[in-house]
Amino acid sequence: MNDNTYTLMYAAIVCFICSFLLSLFAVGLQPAQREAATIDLYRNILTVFGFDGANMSKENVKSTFQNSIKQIVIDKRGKVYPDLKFSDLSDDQRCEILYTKFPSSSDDCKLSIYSKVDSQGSASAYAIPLEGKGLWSTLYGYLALENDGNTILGITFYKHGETPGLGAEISQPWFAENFKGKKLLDQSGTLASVKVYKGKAKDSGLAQDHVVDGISGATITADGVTDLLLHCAKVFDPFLAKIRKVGA
Amino acid sequence: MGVLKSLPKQLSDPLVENNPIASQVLGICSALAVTVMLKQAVVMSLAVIFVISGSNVILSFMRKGLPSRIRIIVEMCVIASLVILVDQVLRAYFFELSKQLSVFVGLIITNCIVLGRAEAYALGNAPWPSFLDGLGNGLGYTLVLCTVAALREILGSGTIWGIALIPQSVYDLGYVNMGLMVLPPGAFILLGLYIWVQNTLLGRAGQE
Repeated sequence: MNDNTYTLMYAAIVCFICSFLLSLFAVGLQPAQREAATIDLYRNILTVFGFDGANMSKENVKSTFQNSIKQIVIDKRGKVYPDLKFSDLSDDQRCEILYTKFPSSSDDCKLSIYSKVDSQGSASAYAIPLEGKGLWSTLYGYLALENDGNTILGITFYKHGETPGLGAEISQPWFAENFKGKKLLDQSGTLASVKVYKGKAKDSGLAQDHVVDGISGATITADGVTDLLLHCAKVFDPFLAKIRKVGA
Repeated sequence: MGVLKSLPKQLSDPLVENNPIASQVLGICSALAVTVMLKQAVVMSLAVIFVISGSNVILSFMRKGLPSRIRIIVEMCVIASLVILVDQVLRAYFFELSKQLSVFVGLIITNCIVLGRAEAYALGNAPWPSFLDGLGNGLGYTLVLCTVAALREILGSGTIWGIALIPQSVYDLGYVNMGLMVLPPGAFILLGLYIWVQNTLLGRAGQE
């Protein structure tokens, strides 16, 4: 066998063995990875509703989630579909939340929100999904509101690819802590959302109900959070307006 | 140092004398990035130990038939496969940690210690010594990473392995965590001090 043929054969065999083994592992580990991702999502939703999600065991997370959290399917106008299950819907039937895609999603597409229910089945809080661009990546999270549809209970980002130590701080408890008690609506009832200020919120000169401390070294990620909060608050405003009426 | 002498040279040499980070100044990127908390540093170190020893053994087995023209590509192929494997396992069983380490697990592929050991050692030696060499270099990496991470966590966050070390009463008296230690410059400074201390102890200070 001449030299070139040998080299090519060698390369082909190495490629084949490596890719075969990797795909074997990827497929074998997939169920465990899905499970881990689901538990992580549950944990984040529980945390955003004020449970101590970070310190719960896997089983505890599952059972608490099943007992106290309910998923609700709504459409763009805020109409609730009690008979639909979001997991049964195909991707085409779900709305794209990202602001570049939302306007083009069809009128009867569905959105999913979570509610925290007590033992009698009445909802005490709601969590809306968040999605928007940071610096490097799309940020995914949840924003929990009290049942006045206005006061923020918590915020969490469960998936992003921002710089560890800088932009990735958005998923740290201290950042989420700043949002607690902030309001979406200003005193006249118009949507003001919450701004992540570059610096300390108290130096911003803005109404303190609508501003939180920024993260030094992560201005673009923070601006992304500001933008996506406003956008997602708008997307879910028809539904939130309904809750506000019931609450008032 | 007496204990170190009794170990095989491949294992003991890279721990102090020829430490990949502190003496050869390789793999600095991850040493700066994942040393904010001890737990992340330990997981990162374990991943690197697995990848270096694994790739060293595999490449040592392959060394006789390996065409030298595609040597580097094949090395990268083996290393990348091992790294992806580690990343997949972390995602399945240590989801939280894999989220925190994010891209840095994938970046082990570009860690020059791994390719360096494959090139410099595994291609010229039998599998068992190559394994020891990989293990030694991995442990040398671990030693520096964990020392820096422990110091950064204590000084920067007041915790060790996530457990509060500095009592609340001390904070009440006005003690403040050192914010610099959480940021990359803190790692630079500590790593510099580590190298300084090591060179002084080994009597290398002032040498070119």
